Amino acid sequence: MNDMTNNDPRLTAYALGELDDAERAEFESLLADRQDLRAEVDAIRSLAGELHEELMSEPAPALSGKQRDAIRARAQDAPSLRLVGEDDRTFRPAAWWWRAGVSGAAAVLLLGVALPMMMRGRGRSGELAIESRDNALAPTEPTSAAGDSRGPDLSNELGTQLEAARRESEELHAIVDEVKPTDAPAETAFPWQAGAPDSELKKAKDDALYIAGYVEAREELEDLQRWSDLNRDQPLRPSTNSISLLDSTSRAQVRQRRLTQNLAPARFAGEDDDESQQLYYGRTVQEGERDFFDGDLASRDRFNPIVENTFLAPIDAPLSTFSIDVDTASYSMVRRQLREGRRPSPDSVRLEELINYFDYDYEAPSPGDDHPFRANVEVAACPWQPEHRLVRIGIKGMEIPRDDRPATNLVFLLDVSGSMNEPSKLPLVKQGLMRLVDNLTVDDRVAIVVYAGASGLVLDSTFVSERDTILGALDRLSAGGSTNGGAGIELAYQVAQEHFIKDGVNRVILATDGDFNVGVTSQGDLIRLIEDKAKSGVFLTTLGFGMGNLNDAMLEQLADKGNGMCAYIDTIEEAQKVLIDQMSGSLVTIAKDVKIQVEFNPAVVKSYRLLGYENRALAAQDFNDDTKDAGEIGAGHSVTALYEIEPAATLALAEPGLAAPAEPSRGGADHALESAEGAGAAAQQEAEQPDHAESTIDPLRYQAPAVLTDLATSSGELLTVKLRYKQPDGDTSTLVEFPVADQGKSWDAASGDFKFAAAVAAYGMILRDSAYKGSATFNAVMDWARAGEGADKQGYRQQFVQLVDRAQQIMDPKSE
Amino acid sequence: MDSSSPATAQKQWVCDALERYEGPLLRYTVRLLNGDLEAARDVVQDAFVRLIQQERSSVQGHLAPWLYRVCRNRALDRIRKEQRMQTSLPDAPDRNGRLGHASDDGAREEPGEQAQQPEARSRLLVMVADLPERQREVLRLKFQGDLSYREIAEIMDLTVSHVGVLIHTGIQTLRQRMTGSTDPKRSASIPNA
Repeated sequence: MNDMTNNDPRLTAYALGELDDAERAEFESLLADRQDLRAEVDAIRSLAGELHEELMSEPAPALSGKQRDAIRARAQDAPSLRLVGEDDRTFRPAAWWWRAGVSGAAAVLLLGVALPMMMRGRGRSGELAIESRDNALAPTEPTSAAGDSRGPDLSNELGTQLEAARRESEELHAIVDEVKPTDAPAETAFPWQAGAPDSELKKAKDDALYIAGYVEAREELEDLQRWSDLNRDQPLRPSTNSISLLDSTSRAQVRQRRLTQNLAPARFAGEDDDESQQLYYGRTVQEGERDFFDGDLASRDRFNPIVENTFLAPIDAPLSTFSIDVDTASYSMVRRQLREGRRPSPDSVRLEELINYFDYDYEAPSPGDDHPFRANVEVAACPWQPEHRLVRIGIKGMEIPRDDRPATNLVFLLDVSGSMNEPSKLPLVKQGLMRLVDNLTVDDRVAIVVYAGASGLVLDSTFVSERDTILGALDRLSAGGSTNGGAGIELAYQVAQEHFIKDGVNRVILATDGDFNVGVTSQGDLIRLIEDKAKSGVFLTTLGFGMGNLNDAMLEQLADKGNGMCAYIDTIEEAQKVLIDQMSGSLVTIAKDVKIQVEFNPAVVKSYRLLGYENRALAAQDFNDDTKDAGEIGAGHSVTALYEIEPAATLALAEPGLAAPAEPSRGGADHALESAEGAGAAAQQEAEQPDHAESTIDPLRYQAPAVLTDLATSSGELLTVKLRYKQPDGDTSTLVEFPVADQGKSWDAASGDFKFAAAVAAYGMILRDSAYKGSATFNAVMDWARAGEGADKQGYRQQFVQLVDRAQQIMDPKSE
Repeated sequence: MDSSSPATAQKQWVCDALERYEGPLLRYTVRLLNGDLEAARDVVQDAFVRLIQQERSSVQGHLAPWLYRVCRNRALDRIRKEQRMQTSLPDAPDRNGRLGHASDDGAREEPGEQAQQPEARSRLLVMVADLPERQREVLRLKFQGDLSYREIAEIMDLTVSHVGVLIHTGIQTLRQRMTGSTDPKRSASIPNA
């Protein structure tokens, strides 16, 4: 006999793993012959999974740096300090929660009686609740009980705050005291209290008083009645993480249901190249289903198409030349699309930006080094193509302690057009920038320029010592109007130049959802404008906010031309990472126009492929052309590039004693340097190769035309890395170069950072469905990433593993 | 237990708690306080200050519910106080400097928000915002705070069974609305099972 209905809350408790063993067993036996309820449980589970996803992706704010410091400063106080009047009844023993039967029934009865009283309005009932609330933190006794046992050594700030808290509770008490006894429901109004424990009654009363209005109260009442009708009030099992109980099918169904309202298992198909027709679970979305997700976003995001690098033979193309890129926007965009349950658009997946999202533990140059960065090269087996070799070139910029940061002159240039009026946009911009201001020192300056229908200076350049002025100005910003980026940019640069700090950091920080109204300003004009402004020594950082409508290509181009970086910010955590954790790096440029040129040895390398950096490619002759703009490195930044190499038939392993790949190679210490003057024609004076010919391309190390040099055949070198960079305020570049040999390192022997970077690259290739992904699968990527997770203090790498899992759910739900 | 030194161990413990719960607690508290981030920060900071003053043994094992509960009570106190004071100050002209989704009740939504942004937030979150206050709160504690029924009961001062009912009702309502059923009745029913 089984007349359980789907109104039974145990269905949800069961789905979420909240029943204890005995209850679960009983419940499962009830479910045995009830297909309908089993479906119900599945549906609850899948909605729960979706809810979890969605809620977890909401931004989580943070305390100000000051507040955090105040807490940390007090953290080792012995717990002897007591707040005035605080008592220790923090928690009742667990058994307290189980007064079987009483609580539900008592609450129902109480609600019935309390309803009329509640109708008198909330403020008043709220006060009453203060009296009845049985908890450790209810407002304290009046402080006349002055046993003020606060420690004598309170730090000023905290002392003030405690003082304030105390005053507040005094005020509250004064208020409560004003309430006439007749306003309060006398305890005797509850004749049935005899059998009920005090705390239960108080609690029930409190519940009743808390309820906002009649309707909600009625609903609650029905709930309770329904519940008490079931007459089951047994302990439930606390669960650690109920979501893990959702099996993969139900997770897949979550998204499926959104579209089709049924729970049929999802089909999967791999191809999705049609921008206008988004694929979900391998099905194109039918017209009628469009309502079931939030608009067709992908078509509103504008990404430049990426044509992947191919394998090239050193005999034909001995040189691979590109500009470094420290942008990370692609990673955030991929993450956002996945969180929305969409397969990332292939053109939004830029391998180098995924890889460079993470910090790697490369050795930074020592203070006395000749160059502001150091290169680290490692070679090991390629995980997705075991017969190939993978080369990781890691460059790490000099670190500048925050205290040594030069004075900073920032101009926030904020898009306040109507489209910014969304939780993930302007509010997040404000939060992020407020945090940034919290991290600046009093000698730094901030100005705020906004643009929408018109541009305006909201706050002229102000010293951070007037922090409240700045925060207030940020706080008051609101969105509305149309966008014209051009004039705002002019104004921002003008303000930055007016307050230019020589030898300091001068930077415009542009925050927008990428909605440049190009009706007034053509993109070309805008880019030329930025190029021109960059010469003034004011650099530009572009921050993309919001979802969809992000003119990503444009933002990235502006940052490139403006000597800055571009990041995409989708959560407050990301704002923290970009604006604060990397702040000294993002703000202080230590080298600009950094170019990499790699020459491969045809005797050892059959073909090679650069992973990513497609839109950073340079012509070989651009390497020595100092008029050619390239990427910047900020203090402490690391930049990583991977090459996949197909070895020549006989892989010549290096003799011991040659440059060990895992060892950081000290640029400059043992490598020739040179300054090339002006464009192109460089006066070469390399110690190692005095017989250098003059040309716009550095002579090849390993081949004369069609003839291999001695070095190629005898050295065992795999390749030579050449770097060119300029000082932040310089116009001529410096060259660093060093040869690299392959020690035949296996995958297992590779460093954690190497493994992790390889995992990220492979992930990107799967997302792009690249022809070069080899044997890489989501599961393999997760294994590789875990092998390289390392200390991962900030949890970014762990988050990556979750993102891989997420992508697998969306793109390949069957494989889990 | 860390035997190095009680003070260091204590500090480490507090810092770990801060690291782990700062974001989630703020996310929760900011909603209780209708999006007032500064007030939420004060409340959360206060919670950690109180934590420092607790005997560690008294919160061991239920640190998360303890912290949530402190934040909740402080936040409700503040709200009551505000309502009581009925400050005659005019409302701040614009509160959209607040973090997150303006707040949980649609009334505080930015005007035109729904209209002009297909991507503002998912349908599901919009629907969560439409649920009764308490259902919203339990769902957030459950799925954003990853807390068990029992922990939620401790935090909100309800019985576990009551939490179970609230969560069940909330989920069933969301299911119906997600599947577009226009059934005005709130009692759950299986849509065309």
